[in-house]
Amino acid sequence: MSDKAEATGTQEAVEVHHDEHEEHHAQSFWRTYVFSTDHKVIGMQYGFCGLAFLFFGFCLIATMRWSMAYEGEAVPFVGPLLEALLGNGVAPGGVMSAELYNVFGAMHGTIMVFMGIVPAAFAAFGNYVVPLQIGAVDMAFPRVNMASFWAFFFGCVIMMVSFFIPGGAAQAGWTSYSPLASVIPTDGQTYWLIGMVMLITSSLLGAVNFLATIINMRAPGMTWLRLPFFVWAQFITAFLLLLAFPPLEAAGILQLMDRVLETSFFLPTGLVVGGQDVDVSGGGSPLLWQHLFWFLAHPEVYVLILPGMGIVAEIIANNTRKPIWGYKFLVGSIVVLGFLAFIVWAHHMYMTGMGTVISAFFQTTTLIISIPSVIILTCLFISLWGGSIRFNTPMLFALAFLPMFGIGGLTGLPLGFNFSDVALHDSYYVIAHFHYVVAPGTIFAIFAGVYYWYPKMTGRKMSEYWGKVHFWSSLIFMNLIFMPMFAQGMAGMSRRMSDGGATYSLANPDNADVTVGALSDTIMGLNVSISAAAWAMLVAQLPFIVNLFWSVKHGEKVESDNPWQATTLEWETPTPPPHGNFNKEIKVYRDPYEYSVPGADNDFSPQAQPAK
Amino acid sequence: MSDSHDSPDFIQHLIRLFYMVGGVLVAGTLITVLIDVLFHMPLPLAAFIGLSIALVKAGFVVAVFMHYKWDKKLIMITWTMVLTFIFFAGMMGLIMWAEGDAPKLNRAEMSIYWVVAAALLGFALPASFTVLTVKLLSQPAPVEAPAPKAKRVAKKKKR
Amino acid sequence: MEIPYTVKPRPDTGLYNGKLGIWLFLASEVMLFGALFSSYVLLRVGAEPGTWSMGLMNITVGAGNTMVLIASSMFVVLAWAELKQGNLAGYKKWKWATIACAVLFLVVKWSYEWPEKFKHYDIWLNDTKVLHGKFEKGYHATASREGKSAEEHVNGFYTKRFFKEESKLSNDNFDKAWTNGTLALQGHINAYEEAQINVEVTGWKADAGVSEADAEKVLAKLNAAGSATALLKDGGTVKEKVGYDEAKRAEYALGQAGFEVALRVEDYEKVPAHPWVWRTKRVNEDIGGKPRVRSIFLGLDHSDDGEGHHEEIEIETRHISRLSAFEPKHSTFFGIYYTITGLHAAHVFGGIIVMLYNMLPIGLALWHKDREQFTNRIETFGLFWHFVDLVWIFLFPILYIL
Repeated sequence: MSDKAEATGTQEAVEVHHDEHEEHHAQSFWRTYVFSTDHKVIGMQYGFCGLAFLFFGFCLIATMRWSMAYEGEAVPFVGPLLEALLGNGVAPGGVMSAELYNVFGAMHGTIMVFMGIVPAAFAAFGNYVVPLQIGAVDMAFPRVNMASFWAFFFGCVIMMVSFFIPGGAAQAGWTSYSPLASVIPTDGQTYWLIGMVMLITSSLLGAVNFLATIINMRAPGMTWLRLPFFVWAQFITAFLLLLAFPPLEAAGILQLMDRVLETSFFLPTGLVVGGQDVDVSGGGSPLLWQHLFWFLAHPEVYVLILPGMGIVAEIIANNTRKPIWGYKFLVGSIVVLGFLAFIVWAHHMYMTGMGTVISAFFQTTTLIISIPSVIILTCLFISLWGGSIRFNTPMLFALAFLPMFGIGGLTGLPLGFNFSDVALHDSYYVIAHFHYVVAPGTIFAIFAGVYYWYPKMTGRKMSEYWGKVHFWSSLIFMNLIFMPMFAQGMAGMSRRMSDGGATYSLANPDNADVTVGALSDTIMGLNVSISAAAWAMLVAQLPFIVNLFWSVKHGEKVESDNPWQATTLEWETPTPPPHGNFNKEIKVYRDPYEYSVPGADNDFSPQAQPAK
Repeated sequence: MSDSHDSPDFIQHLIRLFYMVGGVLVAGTLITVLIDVLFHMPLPLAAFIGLSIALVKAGFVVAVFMHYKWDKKLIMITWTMVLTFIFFAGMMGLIMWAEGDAPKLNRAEMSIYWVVAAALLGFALPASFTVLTVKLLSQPAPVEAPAPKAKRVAKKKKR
Repeated sequence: MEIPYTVKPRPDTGLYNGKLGIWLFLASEVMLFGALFSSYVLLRVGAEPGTWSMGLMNITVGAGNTMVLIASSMFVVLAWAELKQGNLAGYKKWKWATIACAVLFLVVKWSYEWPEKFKHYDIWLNDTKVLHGKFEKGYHATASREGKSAEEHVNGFYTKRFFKEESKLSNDNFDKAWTNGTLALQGHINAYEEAQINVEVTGWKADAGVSEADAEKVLAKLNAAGSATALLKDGGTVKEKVGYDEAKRAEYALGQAGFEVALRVEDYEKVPAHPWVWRTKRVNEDIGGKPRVRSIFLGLDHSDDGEGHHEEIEIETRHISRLSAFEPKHSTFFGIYYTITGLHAAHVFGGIIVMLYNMLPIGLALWHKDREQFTNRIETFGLFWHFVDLVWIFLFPILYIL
């Protein structure tokens, strides 16, 4: 609790503080900070792990970018480390082997999606902010919440351990398509599957908890249409996780059976691997894996983006000092989005030969789903209109989210049509598309959220100056990384090649007489510039990391419990909020974003402030 | 179950109901086995009959054992669950049907029947819930909760 | 800090937290098992002919286990009803009954049903014949080559191959022995024979509305064995030793032409296709008192003293294309059977642990502290348990009957 809050605390606050003090004595360090059931501590645990894994996943791709730009040369700085840690076989002399590239590629995707963004965007902010925003004392099931985090942690440990087993971690891409994933002889894939089952279990427990909390723990007066948009986003996200993850769990179990007990669910009849017949019983279906996987993984895309949208909506409302434009449209759109997310999955599978009828069906639903997305984006853009915008760091990130997500979304349309997807499938265009959605989209939203809620968590603001340095450098390098990839993809460069496409370039003497389709020197040259931008991006994160830790002790102290002058309930708590959150009874009288209400005393009217 | 259902008489009524449903379930199992032993029928018909009996049994378990019958407020959660499941099962059916032109899949004999079976899973299940829902909504609302508010909450839960 | 609505339901949602949570959890469970069921359907429909094994399940055991689970589901809700009436002794009585049922279910599955399956095997031969057998005296089989023999134990589960290396020879040696060696098998070994049918005409009805000339045309079209006029007058054999489909077609055509037809099983021939198809009664039928398909024992001396069942037969390994016990890798059916029932058994096992916790003093402490909360906890657990029962209700027809 900050000095300020202590000094100005009411009688109740002092009492709460007293209680908390006693509890603090009753509970050991371990129960308070490690095996805690407090949603805020769990949220910060998730956040810390999530950000750490985001950084680690980024390091993996930064290493891979070396292999793509300068194939066959020893990786500077980390090359010896790779050789020492992972063995001479996979990184001889510090040079990345193709196997290691595959390992890093698969794990980059897995770590970023399941161990980075989901915990950071959904679990961390969800845990920390949602109970505060709905005026609850904690989550509905605090112990389940703790179990959820430790299941997640255990899953992450399994994933990390798999790097160091013989043969390395999973190599079959984050999508783990069978039969490739089923027949790879190294054990990495098995670890991956077990780790995934743990992560899925964690997400399920978390989702149940979120839904129960939002449905049953809302403060008096907090009706459904008074929920802040962020809570709505988390609510829909939790539903997506709850209903979309189990099919992947089923698929994971089936693939585990394929690998461990030698069944052949996903192995077709007559499969030949390395010139040898594989002992399969016949009747397996590789497509089944893809259906089950994408039944999760498409909703997963919305799991990644919806919390980001929620965070951005909060920050935009707060920093434009006016209500979100079209709150009901936003809520309606996000509900429809969640609903439609379940029936678009096979647009990832146009190229599998699953049939034209089914492609046509999923093409239609895919284009329909772009409508609610566009409504959300439009509402957020219109919200800016006529606002007196405060350009602080969280707002800058939130503002950058809008065009970046827009680019990501619009470039998805050619992929949604199956006729243009035929050309673009599995090319760098796809990579650029979804990275525009999640990297400058969701990750910027995560940064925005960190800068925005940091004062609530610690009682101090993060440095604005370094925040802006972080923002502008990230924005520039992010675009320098991903924008050229559109060009590469349209030139025909394929994904998942450790040499960055050199085999298919004009520079390769084998392609001397190829007139059409070989990659030109310009396109190949972009590999180097992209890689350079990626490494610069890595450096650009250092201000954020230093800022994050430095500001805990040395940041500017906040003057009140509500430094951003926001309306939502999380700012009604003491700073930082004690166990049990509120030191007064919370009743909700207003809609979530009552900024600049005519006739009001301030330009913001908190939800808990009674109407005159 | 709400407090209005806590009276001893009602519990006694429930217990009688539980025994009855237990009997029905056992009978259902026996009927399934008997039909299998006595009649030799083509697979699609067998699938239809077997799954129908299973659905009836499942309906009894959900309605009485899980006292869904008295938990009106669960309707929306159930609907969410059922709708998603319909999507999943229905989509799988669609996929099976649409993949008919793939040479690998040989189902000259039973293609349409399996779509019917998938549709059965997709439609009969929610249909049984619909009947229950309609029946439940015609019951008076629990005492503490004013009816319009309860409805509103339930409506918003739908996603 | 007190979490609200842990005991009393929230008025506007009508639910206390635990019940809301368990229903949401069950929603995800529905999707989990739903995905597995969908996989089952998709795999079954997509299976090549003969790769989906049918009719190998022990329906009696399955039905028995269904009853046990139904009983446990009823007991658990009765236990809750006793708690509602404040009767802890009654609760304990029903709860022990539930636990007993659950344990019985698992014991039957793990110590009888599955191990019994692991003793059976199929051997696919290169000429598309399939041997089906059951090991009785131990699980013994030998593969030998050039006088060296590798005696191996069948390890039903987890086998890289059908036989697991014991210790006498290394894997390499076994592989060598296997290549061009022989496989000696003991125990019940089944193969299947299909009827060779004679189609006979026993009379001709002049009043059927078909002229003699047309009837003769039909006979000619069928390439009848005897002379048409003789057949028409006295009856006789139209076709000899033909397969089932051809006989049925002939029977239909002759029937249309006014003949009275009898099918008689003349002989049996080894089934050249996959025998799974024949194992279910559903596709077998009587032809003149004899079954269309019958199983024969190989390697038996047909004496009834029982010892003959264990006579050894030898198969040259080069004739073998694949072999497998009834373990997950045997076929996609067994794969999904073990997966779903295994996952279900894991749920039952978890349920037993929770029930035991609620029977021990540590769990019962809550009863003495807050009766209503304990009752709620039992209700919540009951919902989970009913769901486990519900899954089995669907598993039983899908895996055992169809």
